[in-house]
Amino acid sequence: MTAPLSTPAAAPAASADALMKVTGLTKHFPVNRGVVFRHRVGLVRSVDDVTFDVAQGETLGIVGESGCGKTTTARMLVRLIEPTAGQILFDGRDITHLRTRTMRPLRRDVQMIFQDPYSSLNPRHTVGAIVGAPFRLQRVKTEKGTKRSVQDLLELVGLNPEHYNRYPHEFSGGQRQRIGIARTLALRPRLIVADEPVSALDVSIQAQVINLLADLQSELGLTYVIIAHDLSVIRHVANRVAVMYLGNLVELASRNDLYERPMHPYTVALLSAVPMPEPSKRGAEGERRERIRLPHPVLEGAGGVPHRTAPAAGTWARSPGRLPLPGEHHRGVRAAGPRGSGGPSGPAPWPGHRPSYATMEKMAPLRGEGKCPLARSRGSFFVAV
Amino acid sequence: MLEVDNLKIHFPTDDGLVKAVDGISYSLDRGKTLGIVGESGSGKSVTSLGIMGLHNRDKTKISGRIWLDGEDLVAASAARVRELRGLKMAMIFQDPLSSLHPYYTVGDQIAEAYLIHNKVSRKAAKEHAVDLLNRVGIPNPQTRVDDYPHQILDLISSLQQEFGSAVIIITHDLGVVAELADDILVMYAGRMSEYGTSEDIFDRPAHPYAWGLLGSMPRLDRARTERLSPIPGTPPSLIHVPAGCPFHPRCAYAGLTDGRSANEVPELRPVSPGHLAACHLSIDERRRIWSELLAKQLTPASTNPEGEDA
Repeated sequence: MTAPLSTPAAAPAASADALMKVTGLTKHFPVNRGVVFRHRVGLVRSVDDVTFDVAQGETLGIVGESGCGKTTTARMLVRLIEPTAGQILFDGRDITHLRTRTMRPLRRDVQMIFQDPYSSLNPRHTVGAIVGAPFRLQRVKTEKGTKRSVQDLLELVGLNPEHYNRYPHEFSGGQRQRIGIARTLALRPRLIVADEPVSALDVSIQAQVINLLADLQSELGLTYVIIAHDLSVIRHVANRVAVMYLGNLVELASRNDLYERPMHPYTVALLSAVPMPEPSKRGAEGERRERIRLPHPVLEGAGGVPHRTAPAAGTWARSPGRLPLPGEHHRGVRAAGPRGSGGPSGPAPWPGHRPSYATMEKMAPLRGEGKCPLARSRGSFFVAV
Repeated sequence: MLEVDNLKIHFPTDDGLVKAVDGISYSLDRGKTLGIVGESGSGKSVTSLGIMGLHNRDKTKISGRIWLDGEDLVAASAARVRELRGLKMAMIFQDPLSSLHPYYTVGDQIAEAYLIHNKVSRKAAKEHAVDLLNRVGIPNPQTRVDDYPHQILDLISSLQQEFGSAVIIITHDLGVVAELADDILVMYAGRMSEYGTSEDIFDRPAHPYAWGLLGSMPRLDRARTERLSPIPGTPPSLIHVPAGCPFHPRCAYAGLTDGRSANEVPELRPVSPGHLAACHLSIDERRRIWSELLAKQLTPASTNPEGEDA
């Protein structure tokens, strides 16, 4: 199924049912020095020109190492951090620079699940007060009264409604995460941004929470943006996956495409690093799978990165339908052909599905020249949108 | 090289006796790696801190034997254990941010142990520290040490080969254990639930707890399943460990044992040579259940929401 490279018919425009549309989202943090004469000495490009959208009812996973900007992205989506540039549309409405007060009504629709179930619950508040806080803050009166609604929520996330008057320290990590999820669900949000929702939990409890999130999604028709560094968790939960590296979005594809036919050398490197629970395939002499070395972004320069080290690099540019390497081609388009039956003409497999074209809207060679990322130039290797 | 024999570590507290480790036995040879897995509160860290002699002896009741090269660490004086610590055994802690002192330079912290155990000058110790930092790739990192654990793991196993050390790796990440460990000890509520080679535990697990752990883990090396099969509930309190099999309140198969799970503590019995498990179910029954579970775990998600080729 060799599809020729072609220009995109149209850069995949916001499908009508994109719940959230993010365009050119950027966050730069200034690095300041000096106590009396504070002056800017540099800029951390935490998130740099990231574009994606989130369809109604889907789960978008964002993966990357720590420091790749995934948490900053999440926090910008829920407007906890002010973006430096770019635009965030929620349900067609521009929420990029809404002020606290104008944002507040939207908080009902966009909620967040935090990573650490210990620090994200106030230890001095009872479970009832914590889960009921959204009702109080939004001045929402529920039919059955707040207490009854909170108890319903506790039941929904698999907690005992009688725990209403208990304090967070009386619960285990997994139960605390459930309390956090109950609070998140209180106002029936449409979009939930979950930042590493299970990474602080034990494996067995992780699975409970993952199943809970899946059940809630089908029951309440939720849309998720789930951020994680665990690629196996993301494969389990996400419909589409975005890979971030050094503040850039380097690959965005449907789950199957990303895991079976990763297109970006960095994604390949990440996948090669996942420990595989198959001792019988370890090979003799304790020999393990070859892993791709990820160079240090500061010392070796962002420009050096995966394309030089990826073993597949040689075949990368040559195989049909594959992305050309940065530096070899400056612009390229990957046709929808090799994506299999889910191409643009296929039927939408779930409501709000937008086939991931993985076309190259922008593909600039890196101009990092191995400088410290503080001074990293704006170019990214390539951004698949 | 290391032999642990019926080790018990109990902490008397105001609320009752915390039986953090309650009868653990294993042995580990030079050059081999043992993985200890279990949920938080299963006693896996306490076991290792016990071997290192890092528990407060006044507040801890330790019984059993820990033989390190023929020397019993439980009976040895605190001073003797201190001599051995750093020389014959050493520990890598979970949290690098809290296990290094923020006030002292890393060089001083590394040189300290070397200085204590060797009659060398401070300068020589510092030089040694620099060598060590070089060895782990610190000053000019050729490899990037990041959140993805693989490079630390590779480093540990290359150092293991160089020094011929025995390594105990404690984690709840089964993928990590599968890659590194020769043998695996599965702990539950301070006891041994299962012990065997990596292949035994991953390919032929013989305890419902191991089935639960394996079913909880999304796996990249297999087709995506519809749902994970987690273990219901949470680990028990170590003060009130359930009677009988400590796992029985969470075990889906406890009903198959005619009530023995609730009343009788299961003994650790061999399933096959070298593979031990503490379970009341008969071996044949466990083989049958595991093959059913495995078939379920190997079934790819039937409705593929992508609609694309699976």
